[in-house]
Amino acid sequence: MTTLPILLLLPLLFGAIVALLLGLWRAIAAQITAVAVTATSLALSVVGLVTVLDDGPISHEMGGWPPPIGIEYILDPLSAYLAIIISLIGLLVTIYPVETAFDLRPGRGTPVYPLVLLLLAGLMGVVLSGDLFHLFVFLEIYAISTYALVSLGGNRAVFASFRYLLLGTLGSSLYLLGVGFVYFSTGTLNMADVASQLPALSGSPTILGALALIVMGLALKMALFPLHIWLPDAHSYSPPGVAALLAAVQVKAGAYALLRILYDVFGPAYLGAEGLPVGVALTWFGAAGIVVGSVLAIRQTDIKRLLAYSTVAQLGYIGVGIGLGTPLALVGALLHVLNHAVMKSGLFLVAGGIIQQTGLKSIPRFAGLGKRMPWTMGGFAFVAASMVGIPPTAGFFSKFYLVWASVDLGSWVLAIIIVGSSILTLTYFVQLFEQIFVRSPEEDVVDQATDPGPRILGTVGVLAALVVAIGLGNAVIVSRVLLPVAERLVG
Amino acid sequence: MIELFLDRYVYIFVLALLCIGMYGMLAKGDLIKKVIGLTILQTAIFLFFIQGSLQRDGTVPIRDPDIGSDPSRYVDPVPHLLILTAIVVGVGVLGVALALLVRIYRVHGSLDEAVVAARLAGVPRPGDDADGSGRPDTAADDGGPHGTPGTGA
Repeated sequence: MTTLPILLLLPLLFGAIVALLLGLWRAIAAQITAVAVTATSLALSVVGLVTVLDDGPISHEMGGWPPPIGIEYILDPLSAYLAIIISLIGLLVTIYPVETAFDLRPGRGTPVYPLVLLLLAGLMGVVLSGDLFHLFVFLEIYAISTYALVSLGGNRAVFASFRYLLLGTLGSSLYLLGVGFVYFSTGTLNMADVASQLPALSGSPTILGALALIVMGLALKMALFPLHIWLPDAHSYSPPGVAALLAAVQVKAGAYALLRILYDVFGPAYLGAEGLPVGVALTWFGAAGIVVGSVLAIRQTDIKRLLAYSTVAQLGYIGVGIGLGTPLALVGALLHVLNHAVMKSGLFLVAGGIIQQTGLKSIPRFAGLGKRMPWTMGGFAFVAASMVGIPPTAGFFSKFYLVWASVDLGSWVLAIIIVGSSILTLTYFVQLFEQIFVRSPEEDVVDQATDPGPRILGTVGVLAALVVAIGLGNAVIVSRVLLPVAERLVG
Repeated sequence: MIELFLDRYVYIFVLALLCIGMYGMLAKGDLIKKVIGLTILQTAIFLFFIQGSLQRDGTVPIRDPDIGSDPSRYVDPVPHLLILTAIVVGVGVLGVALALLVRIYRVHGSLDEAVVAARLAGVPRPGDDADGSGRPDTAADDGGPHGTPGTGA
């Protein structure tokens, strides 16, 4: 089964074309195609993860040219893990009602599902690619579909999308320049081949320059503080379904690329005393992001903007994990990639449900919503508890591993920041809960609101259940998948 | 010293172009100029790759029986290939950027960043619409002098 890596990618790419053509005929046909394709991808990703855990990584030579000449697609436990997250969130967002997910006005045949599938294909390509330049192409494929999807959210979103386009392209340009430095020093673009040649070039200023450019470019893509400035606008003005996709999986692709290139390509030789202090920089910028993101989130009154700033904080955790670079820290970061994907998409999809039923986005006007939309808000409470990190929900465990890792390294300041930020997270969700559950309905729209239909409740319910399931089953995920992955990356 | 300069002067130009491009992108207030800056930045990177592929006295990378397979006699074809791809990607990004600008111009009648930002800030926030039942963004959408916006990107 050496074709498995490509089988994960091609259905999404071809699905985009099929959805575009079928969408011209019937809008619902495009959605059915998208659901079918993402479900196939999810099934294949699960099969892929089980296969690679048993038999080791699968490499596919594109077009029959063996690497390092040809382009290589690699499915190993890390990329299979990311592939599952991407296709799972993709599936749930495509099931979600299209008008709410993408702010579509009735009667407009905007082809959103081809864009969503293209976005997912780009993300899938990023996690499967074994070639530095190919990774750039996929970064741009997902970025271009993102710009179009963000702009669906109205006039503010169009402007936010344009600003994001400038910074996103700047990020991938910096990455491309760094790849150029690597290519002219080593004469190859294949990740494994580059990794085998780099130790011999230890201390070369060209390679250090390449490392700096690549880290900057990818940190911009993953919106690590202080390069997060594009994120709050792009995530809060885009439609709820798009915001769910962006926060849950799109920024994670940048985090994955950073992790993969730092540890699999450059390796410890360039991250330690001889190279650049990338790890230290990522750790402390991540920690700053946690504090700043949480504090800014407390001050927001728009629900989606609150969630967007909270994403900045949560990406900080992932940055801290990648920066610390011990197996435990990487486990924490990778587990948080999954947890945050499930939690934040759940929260954005709940926000979509609220907007569909009441048209409200402003938190002070949510008073009493819990009494009128009990199921939606119940799911919301579950997921928010996980965001705060209340055991046994998923969010507790990734923070637990990160705190453990920082205490292990003797970095008490970091441990205090991580624990303390849970209190900040609690603050902004308590404000929200007080409005929703304690107060009684004041406005007519709230008083007449009801729970949304089964498609919204179903997707939110699945995510709320996953939050608990991941929390309870985290030992299995960590010991079977993440710890071996982290030990291989660092060791 | 002068040889070093003659060997490397292209890179100085590339660096200058990178700086000009980044300045245009980040410091200019006109959205079109930002896009131009972006294009200059990308072009600088393309030039960097093309310059890197150069071999002195090298020829086109098609195997010539007179020269044999000595790689130092041929220009490196891989960067050309990469840049061809990157140009296509760049055209895609440019297309999306221009489409977004068309929409911004139709709605606001201006491409000045400060003007557009001020107009967007002046419109009531999406969550604060008075009736609460309508589409949250209609207030912002109807604000332009050119009526309804386009169908989007």
